[in-house]
Amino acid sequence: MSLSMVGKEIRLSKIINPEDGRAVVVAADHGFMLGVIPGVENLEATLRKIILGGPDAILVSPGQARELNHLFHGRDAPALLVRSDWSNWGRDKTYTLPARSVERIGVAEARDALLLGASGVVVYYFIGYGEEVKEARHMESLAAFARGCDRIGMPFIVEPVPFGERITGANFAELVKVVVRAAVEAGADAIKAPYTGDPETFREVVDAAEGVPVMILGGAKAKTMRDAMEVVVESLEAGGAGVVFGRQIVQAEDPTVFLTAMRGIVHEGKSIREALRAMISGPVRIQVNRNNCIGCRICETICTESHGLSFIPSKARLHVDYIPPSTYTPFVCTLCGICVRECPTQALEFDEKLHYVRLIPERCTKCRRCVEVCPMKVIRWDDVSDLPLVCDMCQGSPKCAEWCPTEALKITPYKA
Amino acid sequence: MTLTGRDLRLAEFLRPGDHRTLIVEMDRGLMLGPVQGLVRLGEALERVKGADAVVLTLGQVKRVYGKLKGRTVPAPIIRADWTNMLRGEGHALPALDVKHVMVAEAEDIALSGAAAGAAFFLVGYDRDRDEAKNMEEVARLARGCARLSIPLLVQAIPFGPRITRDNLFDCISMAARMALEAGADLVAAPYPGSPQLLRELVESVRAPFLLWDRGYEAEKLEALCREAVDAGAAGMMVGEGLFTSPDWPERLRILEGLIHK
Repeated sequence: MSLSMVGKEIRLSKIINPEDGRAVVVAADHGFMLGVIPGVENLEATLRKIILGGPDAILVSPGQARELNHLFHGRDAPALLVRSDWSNWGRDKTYTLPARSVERIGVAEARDALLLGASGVVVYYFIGYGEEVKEARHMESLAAFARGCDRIGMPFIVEPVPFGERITGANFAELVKVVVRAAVEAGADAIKAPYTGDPETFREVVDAAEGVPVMILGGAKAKTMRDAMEVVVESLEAGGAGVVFGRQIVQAEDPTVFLTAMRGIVHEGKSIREALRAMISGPVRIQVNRNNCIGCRICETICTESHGLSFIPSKARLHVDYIPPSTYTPFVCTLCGICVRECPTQALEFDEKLHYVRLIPERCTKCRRCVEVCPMKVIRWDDVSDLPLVCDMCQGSPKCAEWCPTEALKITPYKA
Repeated sequence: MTLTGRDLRLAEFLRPGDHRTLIVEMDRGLMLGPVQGLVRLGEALERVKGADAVVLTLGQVKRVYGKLKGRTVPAPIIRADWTNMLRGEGHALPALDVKHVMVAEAEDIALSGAAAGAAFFLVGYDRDRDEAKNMEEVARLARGCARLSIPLLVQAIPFGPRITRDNLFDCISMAARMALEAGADLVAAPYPGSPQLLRELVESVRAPFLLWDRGYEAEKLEALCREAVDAGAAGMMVGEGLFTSPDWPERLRILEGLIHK
């Protein structure tokens, strides 16, 4: 094993976790390609929030790699990745001075990354240029760059991008396979590629990479956290090596929480449900967005199941009402506390720490006052146990909201 | 010449929180042969968790790099030179004439992905030209490391019959200062004789200073570590003697606790 290969292995292991072969990486080089976009005005402040979320590596331009080098100091800090080329391909019509022809130039060599203390470099590989000579030159430049990286033991991550008019919905997945394979043949140590859209074709991309780790691009902002996570999970199940988030994180409301959740999915084996739930600590409430309710009643089903009964929706501690012709409205415990106040024997109380309502069966005189006074009508009487069925937020982690597929029920922090 | 890479690599083992470090030398095979506790280097590497960095030879790095992967392991520092100075009376073939040569260049250190290079600057040679040669080698390495933003740690060590109790402090001080002037980013040196002298030494070295001890006497090592921290040193560098104790991982943890409390 040559020294430069040793260097590559050691450096790459700072990016791609050797224990699971995966990485959560943040790309923060947009200022270089696009100018000032939201999130990068004060890049240091944004990166500090991002670093609290524990990414494995952060990609920045050479200038920022020097300016913000101090953010990468220490064993707990993310690994430094340096962008080694520049392109205008991201400047579509929404930008000032949109690109009229896609150009790409090299801006840093392997040696520059070494001097900056980087663990790796990232370089584009485009296909779809209008002129074939540009693609040829790009490959020539990529190959020379690759040899430079090999000589110095610097891992290089290729970002292959099929772009332009000749790329269609029909040929996109196939072309991702083509460019990924080409990158591997040119010597890429890792790849960040667009997700093809479905696990079958993405599995083919992973196979084409023959063991070189393929991370997916986080892409444009997903509608919900759950959607963003689902794409990541799909790619992981198809053999992907993790994810590189760009704008999704740089422009997130709370990058720390977002990243921590993604790390849970990529490195800690958390399910989407678990990762979403872990995003909130302390007392919670259930936020209802009735426009999202599709009447699937998974909430009612999981409620009874998690309280030791077998799928008896009529005994659920919440209910979904049907309003013809096509509207469904969930009713849940809102922690209003009326039942607690009205119980004549204090058989209902709020949990001190997590603020959910708890029944103390020995104190219950079975007067059914709680059933009468609940404004949401979610307290029911159970003839079998002869006790009220009261929502207890599943002791702080409401299953109905965890399982809701459309975020009609959503766990949010409870503020008194 | 950019210093940013140098600082980033320094921070791999000089913890940003307290600017202190615990470095363990695991390179003695090159200079002494198989040393007790280090015969199976790979296994020793798996247990050396308390160290911020370990000194290794290039030859071994090529074999054990698998144990250096990830972000929870000690940073590798490359041994760039060889000397027979450590082969004392107890060795099968003690050195009759102390020599020093280079075995790696800055570029090799850069290639290997290591966090720094380490070299000896020995003083006390019988012939002045040997001291000059040692300095030339350290200076060349320092230039090469600076060009590649690799931090360099120099171990400034007086040895031999010319060194006495009376001149020990002055010899250490001289060698440490010369190492710094040659371009060392960190300096390690042996105990100068008293806590007061140690404090003076630390103050006079204008770079992170590490107390160096071969680690053969376990109790002494702990006491030295306390003195080093009290004197304002940036930590300790411990040699092959550490590994002769069967409970060395625990001893290492104690040192880690003293340095990074």
